[in-house]
Amino acid sequence: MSYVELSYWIPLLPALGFVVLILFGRSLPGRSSGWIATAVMAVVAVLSLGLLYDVMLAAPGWDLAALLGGHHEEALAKAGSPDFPFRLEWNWLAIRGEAGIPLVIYIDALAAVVTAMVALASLFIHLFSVGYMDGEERYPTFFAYLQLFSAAMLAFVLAGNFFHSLLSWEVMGLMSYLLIGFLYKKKTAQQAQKKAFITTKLADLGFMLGLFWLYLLVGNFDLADLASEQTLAMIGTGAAAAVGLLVFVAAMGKSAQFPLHVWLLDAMEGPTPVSAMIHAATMVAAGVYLTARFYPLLIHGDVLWVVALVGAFTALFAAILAPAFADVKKILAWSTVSQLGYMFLGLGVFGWAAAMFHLVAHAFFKALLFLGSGSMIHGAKTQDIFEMDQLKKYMPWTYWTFLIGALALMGIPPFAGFWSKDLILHAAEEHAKALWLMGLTAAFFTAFYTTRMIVIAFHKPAMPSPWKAAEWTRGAPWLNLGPDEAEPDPSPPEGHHPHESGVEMITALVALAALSFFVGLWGSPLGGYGLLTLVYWGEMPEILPASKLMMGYLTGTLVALSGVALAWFWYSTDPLRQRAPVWLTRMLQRRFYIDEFYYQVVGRIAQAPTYVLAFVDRYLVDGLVDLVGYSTQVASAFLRHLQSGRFATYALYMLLGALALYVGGVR
Amino acid sequence: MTLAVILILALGGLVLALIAPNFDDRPGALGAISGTIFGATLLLGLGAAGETGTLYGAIQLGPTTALAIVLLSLVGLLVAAGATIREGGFALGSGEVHALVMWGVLGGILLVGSVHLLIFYLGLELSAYSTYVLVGYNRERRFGTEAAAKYMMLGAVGSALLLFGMALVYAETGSIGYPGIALGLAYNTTPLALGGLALMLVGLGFKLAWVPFHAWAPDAYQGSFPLMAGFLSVAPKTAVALGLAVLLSRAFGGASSPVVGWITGLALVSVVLGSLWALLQADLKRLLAYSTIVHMGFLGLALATVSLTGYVAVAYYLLAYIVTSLGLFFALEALEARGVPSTIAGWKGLGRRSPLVGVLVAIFVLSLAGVPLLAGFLAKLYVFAALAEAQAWTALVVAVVMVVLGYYFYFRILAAVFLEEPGEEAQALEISPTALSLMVVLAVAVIALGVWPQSVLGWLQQAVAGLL
Repeated sequence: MSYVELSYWIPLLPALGFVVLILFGRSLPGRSSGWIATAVMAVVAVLSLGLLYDVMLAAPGWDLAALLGGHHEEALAKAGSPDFPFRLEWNWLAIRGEAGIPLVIYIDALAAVVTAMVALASLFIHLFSVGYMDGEERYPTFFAYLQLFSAAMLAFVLAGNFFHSLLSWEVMGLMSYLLIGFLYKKKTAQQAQKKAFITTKLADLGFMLGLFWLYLLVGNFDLADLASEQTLAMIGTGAAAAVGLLVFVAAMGKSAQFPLHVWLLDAMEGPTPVSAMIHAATMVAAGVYLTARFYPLLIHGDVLWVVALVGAFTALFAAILAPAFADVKKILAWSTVSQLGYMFLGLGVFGWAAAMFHLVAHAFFKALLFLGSGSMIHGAKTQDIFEMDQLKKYMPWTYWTFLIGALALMGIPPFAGFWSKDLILHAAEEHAKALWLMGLTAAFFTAFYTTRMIVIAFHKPAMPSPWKAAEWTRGAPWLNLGPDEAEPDPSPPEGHHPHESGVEMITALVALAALSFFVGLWGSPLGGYGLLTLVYWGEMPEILPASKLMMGYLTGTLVALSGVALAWFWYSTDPLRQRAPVWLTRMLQRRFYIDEFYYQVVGRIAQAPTYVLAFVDRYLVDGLVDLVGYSTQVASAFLRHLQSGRFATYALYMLLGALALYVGGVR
Repeated sequence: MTLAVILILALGGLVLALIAPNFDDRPGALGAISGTIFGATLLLGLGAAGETGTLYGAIQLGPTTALAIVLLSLVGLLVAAGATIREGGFALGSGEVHALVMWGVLGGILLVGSVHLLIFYLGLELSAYSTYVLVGYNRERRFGTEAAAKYMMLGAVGSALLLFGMALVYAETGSIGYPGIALGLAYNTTPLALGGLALMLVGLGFKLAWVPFHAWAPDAYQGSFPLMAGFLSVAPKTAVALGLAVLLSRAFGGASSPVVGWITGLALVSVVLGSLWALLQADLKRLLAYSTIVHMGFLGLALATVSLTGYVAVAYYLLAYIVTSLGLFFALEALEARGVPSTIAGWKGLGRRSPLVGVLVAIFVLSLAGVPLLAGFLAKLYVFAALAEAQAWTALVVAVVMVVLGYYFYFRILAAVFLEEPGEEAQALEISPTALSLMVVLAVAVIALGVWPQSVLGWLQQAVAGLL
């Protein structure tokens, strides 16, 4: 039995894990629910690696030299096996022989690679959580949620039918809501979970509209069918553009692209493994993956430039904001937004395979960074980098693994982000010089804020956090919470010394560091572009000749190093010196007031019609509903009297019934 | 093979009744014997679909009779297994239960297979008498005896009306054979014949618990052991529904018969009033009695379309109802055996006390309510499809509205099971492993029928196609 035939277990196992844990989790002793969940993910990881292996055997091979020379026609070195891409299909909702909506699992190279990525990343996130969540009140529930979250993402990646993509997409939305608000007693967590849910839900409307429009045009939801030329011929350019953009709006919401980025930063209110889950392995990757799946339609509708523009702008925007924050998770959150911007930029400038490479590489190093930050928070008892006390000394394992992730994020060779980000920038340089410049600038800022974070948190002794004291940092206006409603983040207790985290947390960190490094190598020229040629489908000219590559690598490295140098120069001497004017810092910390704008203006405008509706609902609709309910109850109470329990009455009913039938029949 | 089935069931019941006293302390052995017999007849029934001709001019051989054998043997098999849920069996002895169930099943098969009214009546009475005894089996409770007495007396009235109706039909058509009746009715439907048909329908409506002939059902369900109520909710219903379909097609003249309009009317009244009655019930067995009334109403709506889709819907509905209803009654039986009263208040926090039982109960209740991916949903869907195909828009709208009303009382059960806290004295529950495994099997069947109905539907379609 091949792994392909077993592939349906990949989403099914964690879903079953969810059912078991939600029902019986509370009766399991100690940490066993966490270990069960981790074991389930380990099996899933084995299955997905097996699947990836099967796919690598069956996928077509490409001649690297021909590809590099730009000769795509002759580049096919080995034809793929005839049944590739694999397809498993079951009937669903079919009534008496009609087609219905078949349940399809579609496995091409991209699906297999992303499945393996999701499975591995969430395996290590599970493993990390076993230690990290220890002592938490709702420990089994947390793992149950994580399981269903993983299941939904895996089902989303493997879905061969956009209808099922939508279903699992929505499950993911729900699970992110539940997990962000996991610490439900915190007011900020409640606000954050609502914000995330409402923002993404608003965007999901685009997915639904686009999908149903697409169904009207082509008459099915099939993913593979969308890429075929006959299908595309049935869709006009205008309709393709509209459908593509609608779906892209949903992707923007899920992947937190400007101007729908607002929820992601506040989603940090969830426990740190949740951040790793949402911002690395699952949720945000889903938006990019969806856009990649709608790629033929986006090209057909000629709207890729929108994707590129949104991506480049978000990459730069988020990278500029990150240096103004002192909370390690928020810095990482901005970096996620920024890196997702890179992926969309890559997609928008025909760097399809490069963007997918960055998606996978980023998933590993960002999971690593988030879990690393979790370990830092666990050890230092604070989230503020200024209050962290020379973590390098106290937490060496965390330091070195975090450094590997950070180097990958900054794009320093030979770490993962360097290879993938530079390929995206090459593609941008080919197609749009302005976007390329934006990407390069973002790379500079990325190196800058990452270095700042590392220097202050790991190398410097604890110091008073510069902004915690300032009056204007009270409250959380971006969550519509006043100064009294939002608690400030806790500072570490007096005389607390950081300590290294437990063994399962360290194991997860080391594993992810290794994975991120080797995945980077797999997609790099040193690895023969293995990852790119695997997912490559023969159209996208993003693989460039070596001479141009060297120029790009050199530029990228220099930009990154200058960012590192500047941050090192500023922060290793005197981290507390305020270099930007206060108004600028405040504006950056308030995120350009975009969130408040949404609450105050957009929220108000959206609320206006609700007053009318509320009136109609309260007095008209409710009145009617109450009337129906009331009259039903009255009728039911009356009818009970007919059921007297007396034999004669019952016999009378029968005779009266017979009479009624007879009269009805004669008439 | 049909003959073999009849003989096996008749003699099997006799043997079980005779040896029963020797097995009072080992009820499991009797259950095994009875289950084996039903398993054998189920297999024979599957093979009987290919037979043709009639047996001694009394029993029609063929797919419809085979369908009755299969469905009723399935009921018998499940009930035989369910009778072992109570450790130590029933206080009054278990052997008689098996014998009575066997004869009840036999009567059902005979009434579906018969080609004239005499055998039909004998089959009906055979199955009715066993249910009278089964309802009264709970003799130590006043309620049980009262319910059985009431049920039997009303049953006698029903049978009298049925017989009187048969007499009138015979007087007008000069025949008690189905083809003869069809021929006689085809020329003219005199007022006398109309009266005969109406009285016959009253007798049959009594068995199906259609309003206003339903009044016995809530009392009988409440007074008996849940297992017996479960048997009562499926076995006579399956037999009479199929028997009525046969009568309708072979004797009453099909779609043009006045009986069709009556059935629609009775079914609609049952769906509406049954739902309203169910709303405020606090006793689960009473609630399920009204639920049966509503379900038989839905089934009647499909039956009255006299179309292939409608008959397939009827057959599928019966199968879905057998697995769902018996599953829920097994839960009641197992819980009553553990001292949990069969009331909504008694089931509070059940999901907390035993999560697995909670989930299983939820599957059955959701299937009764008609939630997608479960058998009960498809059953209702096919009924609606049949109504839409027959362009019976009024009935369709009423039925759909009543499904929504149904959600209310079914979800009341689930709300008690999952949302409410158990009472103070309640502890974790351990129910009998027999019940648990039976319920798991039935729950899997409910899901399987709801997700992969294709092959079953194909078989059912072949079985009922001959009626049109």
